[in-house]
Amino acid sequence: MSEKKANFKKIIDLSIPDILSKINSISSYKWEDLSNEEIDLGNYNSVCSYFEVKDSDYPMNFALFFNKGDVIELTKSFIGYNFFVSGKISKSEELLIQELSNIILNSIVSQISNLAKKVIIPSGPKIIESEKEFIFDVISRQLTDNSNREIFHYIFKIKCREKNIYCEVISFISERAMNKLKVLL
Amino acid sequence: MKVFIVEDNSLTRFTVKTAIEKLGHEFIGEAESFKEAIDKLSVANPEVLLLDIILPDKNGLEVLKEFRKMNKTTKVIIITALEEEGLNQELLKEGANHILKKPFSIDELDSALKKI
Repeated sequence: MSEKKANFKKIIDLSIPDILSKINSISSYKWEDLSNEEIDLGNYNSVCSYFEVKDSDYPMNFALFFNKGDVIELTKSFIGYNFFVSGKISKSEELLIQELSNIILNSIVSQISNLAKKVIIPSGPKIIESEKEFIFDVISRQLTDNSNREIFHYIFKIKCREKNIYCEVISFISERAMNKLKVLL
Repeated sequence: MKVFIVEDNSLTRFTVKTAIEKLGHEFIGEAESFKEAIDKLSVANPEVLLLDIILPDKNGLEVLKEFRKMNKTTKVIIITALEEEGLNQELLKEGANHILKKPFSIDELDSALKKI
């Protein structure tokens, strides 16, 4: 693992207790982070929450991917039922994914903010439904103006009742920001 | 108390509205963006403003600064999942009365409303 990736992993590690504590306080299922093993989830039909941080020192973008097939279980874990049968995710499922990804992303951004001793406010999430690789490609193309972006990848594997649910966090962080964070970690 | 909420997520707005009414307060309005908030708050006169930090156009800190130019008396409760020390200090400096961490329960909302 490169030094920069190790530094990103440190930020994630600092965020995990906060994320689990917040999610467990509102979910009827017990959530645990089991992310130690290497996992390659490949391509899949996803629901993606996309965030931007337009900060002059720490410009960053984050895409949080959930497997569309897990959305029913996720909804059940928060509101106790899911009666929707449509192939497309419903508005309430979309709002729930937004709030869940807000909790995860805000914990990560808060760690960066507290390390940098700087107020950093991310955008609200934009929900995109498509194959993961297609979304990743679109986001990467959109960021071509922002040169020197480094891509960091982390998979939260969360045991949700008997089912493992994954949340892939892909972040695009400028090299300058990573260098600043390296000094602070 | 008369309560107004600024929050971009309609599910959260609906849930909080239900909780506010269950707690015996009056829900007098809602907005989902900076622009809508400033337009509606120039007319509405809430006793309590529940304000989310992450909004689609500008952020809650900017809403707070703008709101305080026209209203110094309404109590403002910030609702956020961000845990930033610098942000909390700035929010309090700009006139926030309380910071309520998301996700929160109805008891925590009740307690925040009693504290301010």
